Amino acid sequence: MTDEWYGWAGTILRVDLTKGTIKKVPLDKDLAYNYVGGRGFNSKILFDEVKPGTDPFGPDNLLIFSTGPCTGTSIPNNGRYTVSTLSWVTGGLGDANSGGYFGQAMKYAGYDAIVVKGVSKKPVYLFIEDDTVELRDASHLWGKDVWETTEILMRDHSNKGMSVAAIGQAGENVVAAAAIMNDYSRAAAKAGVGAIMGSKKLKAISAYGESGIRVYDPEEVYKSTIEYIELIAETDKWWFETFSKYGTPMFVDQYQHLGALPTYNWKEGSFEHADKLGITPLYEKYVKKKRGCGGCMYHCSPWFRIDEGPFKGWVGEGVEYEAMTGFGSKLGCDNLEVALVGGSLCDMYGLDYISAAEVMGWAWECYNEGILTKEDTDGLDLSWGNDSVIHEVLRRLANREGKLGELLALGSRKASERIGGKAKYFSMTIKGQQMGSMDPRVLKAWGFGYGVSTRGGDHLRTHLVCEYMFTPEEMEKYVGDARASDRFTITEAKADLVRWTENVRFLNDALETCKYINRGSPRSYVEFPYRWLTATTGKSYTYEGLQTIADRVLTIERAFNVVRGMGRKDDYLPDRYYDETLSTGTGKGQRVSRELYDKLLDRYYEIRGWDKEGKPKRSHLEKVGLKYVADELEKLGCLGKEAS
Amino acid sequence: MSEKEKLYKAIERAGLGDGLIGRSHGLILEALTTGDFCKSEIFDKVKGKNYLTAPQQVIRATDQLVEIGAVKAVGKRKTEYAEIGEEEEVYSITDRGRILLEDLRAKFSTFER
Repeated sequence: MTDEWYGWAGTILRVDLTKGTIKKVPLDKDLAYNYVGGRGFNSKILFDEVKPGTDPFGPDNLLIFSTGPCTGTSIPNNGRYTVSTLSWVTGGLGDANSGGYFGQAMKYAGYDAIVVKGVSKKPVYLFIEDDTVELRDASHLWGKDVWETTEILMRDHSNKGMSVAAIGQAGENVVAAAAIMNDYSRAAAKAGVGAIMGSKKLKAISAYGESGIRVYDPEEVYKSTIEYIELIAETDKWWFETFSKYGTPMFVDQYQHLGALPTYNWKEGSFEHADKLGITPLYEKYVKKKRGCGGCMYHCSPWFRIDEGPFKGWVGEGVEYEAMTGFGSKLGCDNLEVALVGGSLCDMYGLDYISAAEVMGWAWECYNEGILTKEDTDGLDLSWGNDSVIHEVLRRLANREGKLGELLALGSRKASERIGGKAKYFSMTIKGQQMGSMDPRVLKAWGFGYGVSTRGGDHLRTHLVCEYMFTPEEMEKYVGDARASDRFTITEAKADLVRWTENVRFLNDALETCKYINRGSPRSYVEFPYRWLTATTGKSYTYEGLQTIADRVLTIERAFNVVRGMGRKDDYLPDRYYDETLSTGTGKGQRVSRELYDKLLDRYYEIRGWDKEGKPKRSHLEKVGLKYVADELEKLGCLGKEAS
Repeated sequence: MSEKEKLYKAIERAGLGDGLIGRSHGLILEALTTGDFCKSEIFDKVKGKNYLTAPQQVIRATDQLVEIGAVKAVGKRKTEYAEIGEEEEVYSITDRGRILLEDLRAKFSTFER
């Protein structure tokens, strides 16, 4: 770490896999101060350096790993990092965020970001240990799963303290659902980032460092941290207690109650056997202890062991709602053990639970509708509720094995385009990205947030839990309209809510704090990020100033997509949510109105400073400090119309 | 200090001034004037009113009322909401809660929107 920086380490690693070179580049002050870190760094670098027409698998695509200025400090839940790239899944911006310890290890070694370009001729891994940074041969690791790779690297370097981010078979085989896994079970999961890493023949990055992080005002860092923990413990009591106790598996019960639990590939929002998948059986029988990521105050990650039956002896960590619904209700299955083991297999193969389960949900529905047959599935029976084939399908998916493995490896949008006809209707994607698991028909703002997300269908851009957790009084004060609290009804207030949450959630991705630290308490979103950033970096930030930075980054991400031909047409939900009304659960009778959704889009574009086609206008771009982006969009004929 | 003064001091101390105690809290207090209930039962009584459409909103608003001493836990009951716990607390309105309800009724012509 250089002496002039507080919060930031001050150095970016530039790795060229084609040339086999590594450069240590001083962190640019404009990038640091005006884009903060994490996703902010990545989106700016991607727009500037990955030009339209770039092949996602070519040497000019970048794979960027970034930490934030709070990473490695004592700010709560600071153990995250973001990976970004030009996604082959969406054809536009792709990014993924992960917890664990890898971000902290990068930072302690002295690096804010690692920018990887080029394609290696042979498998390599990047070894980082403080000042020592080297590309090393990974031939012996190729073909190994994530857990084996991690163990081998730790053993070979006699360092149990290192953090390893690696791809498994899924990344090597360039599978759309491929994630980059770190610390065994933490996933940078979205956008097929693992496939891009695999295409570059980069098997892993190992990181270890012993440098500290200098913070500008240690007393204020400490004081604001204590105040924050007290705020959550005292004013967000229910959340603090239940999430600490159960972790994300509690959402199986919660979303079942809300009618938002994806069931039978999103045909329904409640599952008749949800009680077999929820926290009662999970905690009565399987969970033995909990773990947390770096700096975590919740420890939401359950560690489980199966003591009897066909999976006797199986242990795993990081049991997630997404695996329990993904390999449960989405496929019509009620076998919790199959879901638990399925989640662990994803960790080993390096698969994103969500994308893997989503493409399987698509295949299951196609099979049950007679669109796919046993000839397409290599003889496997994909009937709803048949849990006996789930693990085998995951294995074939990760290895691109057989007809079914090849098909599913494409992701559901590309696979459905190959099959054609009604298969497209069953592909539940936005911009090609498969979605997280809360039904948009009963959480209307959250659903709208899926639609306009700059990385495609995704629950985390907004992570819009405040739609059902803020009181209407809090919604009125902080978002400006109490109507946004009505989760069933679309009003223009939903567009304002989505913009607000996109901005405050961006700050999680820039500071690299976990999104679970903000939940029901509006003050936690508003009062702390600027205090933490100011105390950590010594630069003066305000809430309003951070809103402008968020507007800047959301707009540069939009511009990245717009120059690749994306626009309004790509901001809609899958047809099922408009056409099919939920027939069970507390969401019975709910669907999304196309007409009202269109009005929401108009309102959202207006408050974002984009035209009716969703293209950023020069006036807005200049207002948020992106004149050079306006010039670039104008040159490419992609600038928004001012009068629109 | 009068009970009313104590109430408003508690609201300020909890950071719930500036309109953060409003119609939702009025609806919950009104429901509790008809009996003692747990949060899921309160939600069943108020859902659809004042944009309250999720149990978590009522959980949060009730916790705020507990914090300012307007309602108190008086027992426990079995619940269907596993994420709350095996048993839910049962709440009762306090004297301070009745003062608050009176003030909220004076402020709003109706708690429903």
